[in-house]
Amino acid sequence: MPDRDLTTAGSSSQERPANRAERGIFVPFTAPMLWGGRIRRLPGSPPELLLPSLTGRGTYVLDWRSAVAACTPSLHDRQLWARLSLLQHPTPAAVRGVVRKVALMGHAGRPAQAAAEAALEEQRAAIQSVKAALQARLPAPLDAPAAALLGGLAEALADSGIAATVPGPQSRQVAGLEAFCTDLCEWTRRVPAPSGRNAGLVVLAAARYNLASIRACLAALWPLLDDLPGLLARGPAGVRLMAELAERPDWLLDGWPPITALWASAPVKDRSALAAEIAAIFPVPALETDRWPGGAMDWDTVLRGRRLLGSLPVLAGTRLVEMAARNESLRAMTA
Amino acid sequence: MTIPGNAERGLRAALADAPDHALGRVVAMLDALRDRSEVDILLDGIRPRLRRLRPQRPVRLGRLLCLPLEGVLVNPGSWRQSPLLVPRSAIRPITAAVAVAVGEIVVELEVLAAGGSLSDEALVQALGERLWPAAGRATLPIPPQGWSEAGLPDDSAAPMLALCGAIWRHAPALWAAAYPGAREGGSETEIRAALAPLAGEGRAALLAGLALLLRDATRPGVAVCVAGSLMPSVQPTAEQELAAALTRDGALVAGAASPGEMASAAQRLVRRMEGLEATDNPMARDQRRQLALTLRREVGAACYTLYDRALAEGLLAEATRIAAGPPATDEQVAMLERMARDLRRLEVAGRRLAAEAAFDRTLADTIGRLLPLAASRGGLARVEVARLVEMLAGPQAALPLLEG
Repeated sequence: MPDRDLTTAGSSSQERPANRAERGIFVPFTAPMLWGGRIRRLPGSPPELLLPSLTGRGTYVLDWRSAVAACTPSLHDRQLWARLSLLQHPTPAAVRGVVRKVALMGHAGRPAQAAAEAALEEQRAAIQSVKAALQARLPAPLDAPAAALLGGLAEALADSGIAATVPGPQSRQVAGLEAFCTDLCEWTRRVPAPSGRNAGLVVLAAARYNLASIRACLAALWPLLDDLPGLLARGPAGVRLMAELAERPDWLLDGWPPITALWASAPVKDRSALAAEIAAIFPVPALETDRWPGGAMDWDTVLRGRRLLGSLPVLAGTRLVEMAARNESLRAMTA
Repeated sequence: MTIPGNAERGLRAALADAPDHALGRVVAMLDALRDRSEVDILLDGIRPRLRRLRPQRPVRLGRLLCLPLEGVLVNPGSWRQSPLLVPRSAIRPITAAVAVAVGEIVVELEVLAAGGSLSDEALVQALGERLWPAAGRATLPIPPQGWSEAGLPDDSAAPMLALCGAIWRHAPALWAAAYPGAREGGSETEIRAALAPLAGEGRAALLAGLALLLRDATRPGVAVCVAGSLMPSVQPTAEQELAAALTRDGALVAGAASPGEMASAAQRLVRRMEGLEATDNPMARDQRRQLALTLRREVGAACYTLYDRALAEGLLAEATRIAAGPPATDEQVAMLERMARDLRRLEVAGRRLAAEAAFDRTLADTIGRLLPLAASRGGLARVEVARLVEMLAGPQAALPLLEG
């Protein structure tokens, strides 16, 4: 198995891509050398794999053939990529759908299979619950076209929910990120400097910025539903608008749930090394998100801090086997 | 608490035979006892395993004080009044004396350590930085109260306390070098920063610091070179200690009861032997080369023997049996996958020591016997057999099962 040392392969792209399409979406690969990888598909181009550099500086851009040669993808990863590469416009939700399908086939093991089944069931229930809550806000029953629009709206808002009192599955991920910030903050206060504190502080800043943006996006999303009849009166354009706005917190959360699950499940003795690992791979939002609710965060300082951290050790030996098992176990925690 | 002789022997044997997951629980139970004086003796036989497993153990003053002394702590029976060693029976009177001398800090530490565990290296480092230098500067009574009751001669107190004080004064740097946050281990600069002040305290303190680094440090060979450069007269002793430490590591591998345990111990040995022969001293280089050769041959052979047996009698036999039966339960599949991953780890670590060709042959033979199970339409789904093959031999070996 080759070591994950790709310092001579490909060139580094910008640290903050201009938009979501350039940034790509986190893919829960299980192969250790693909950990933290993202898929992106620019218009008119084949899909590309983006891999964070172990130095925390820049990203490698690879085609899948190079990834197979250099990173030893698992059977699961190969199945996943074969299906993801068919997506013309990958989004976090679309990638999540494919990831669950591959998990249902058993490629990530039985716990991940069961978790994917449960997640799909939860999503179905969330759509029904959001639909019922939206219907309850309307003064009169809807005609067929408006009911279809309402169904589309419920699907678009199923993950985010439509109010703090009608939350979607996403609220659990937001709570996970909040808990991660609290725990990491407490840890960085008492950990001595050479033991990953600097890495922890960089990650903490990134997680807090992201959390603030997510909260702002959700806070801006839900009030638009106050005038639900007016929204439906706009026809498909109204649903598209809500779907676009509901996607924003999803994009901002993309890549964080595995990180928070990993931190929560790691023994304390592993946290210093884990902080350094997370610092190298945490997702950075695209520049376009600066125009979203919540405004621009000081990502330049966060990224400057990340560049000052030391490189991660090259993965080798039994650590590769252990990490593959670890990455697979995350699939059961974040289906 | 007094443990009768028969019961003590029985407890020792039970602890030695306990599986890894049970050992952590037993140790936690023993740690909860108020009087640990006899418990410490019970734990002697399993200390090497405890070092590897590092179960969650609450932070107590005595244990925190002992951490940087671990290199010089011995069973009372093997102490023989050596000025370089501290018998475990001295821990209690020394801890009590320190508690009196640095009382305010002890109260503060109790608050900070509440709920923490010794496996939290960051916490240990932070608490140690407060406690160890203060303990090193403290004036302790000679002998401390309870010294003779612990079976220690009065004249042993002064040199022993002097050695402990010297180590404690420089323990933060020593601990940081022995257990660095980074996975790749402490750098030569960190090791030098840890040992140089101990060399200033004298030969015994330097050897004590080196002994701690030799127990777990990723690059013990570098630590010996640094110690030799700081005080050339310790070089022969240090080389002997290095050989003894690595030989103990080798014995831990050979004595492992399961593939998973053996894989962890073998990987540790492989990492500790990396760069072992990099020394400017030609005689030491020859000795180390010989030691490395012997360890690779003997430990590599032990790894292969267990791998071969566990593969045939464990994984292959179980997979064949389950594949022939009704649909496998989640627990059965999880067990097979755990076995496969442990065997893979053992193979990866073992082939870095020796017997590479033998590992290749056995693996190829096993894969050849596992592949047909995918067609049996029995207890294991095709994808589950493919995953087992992948875990054992990598994704390339399993591809035919998904492409066929």
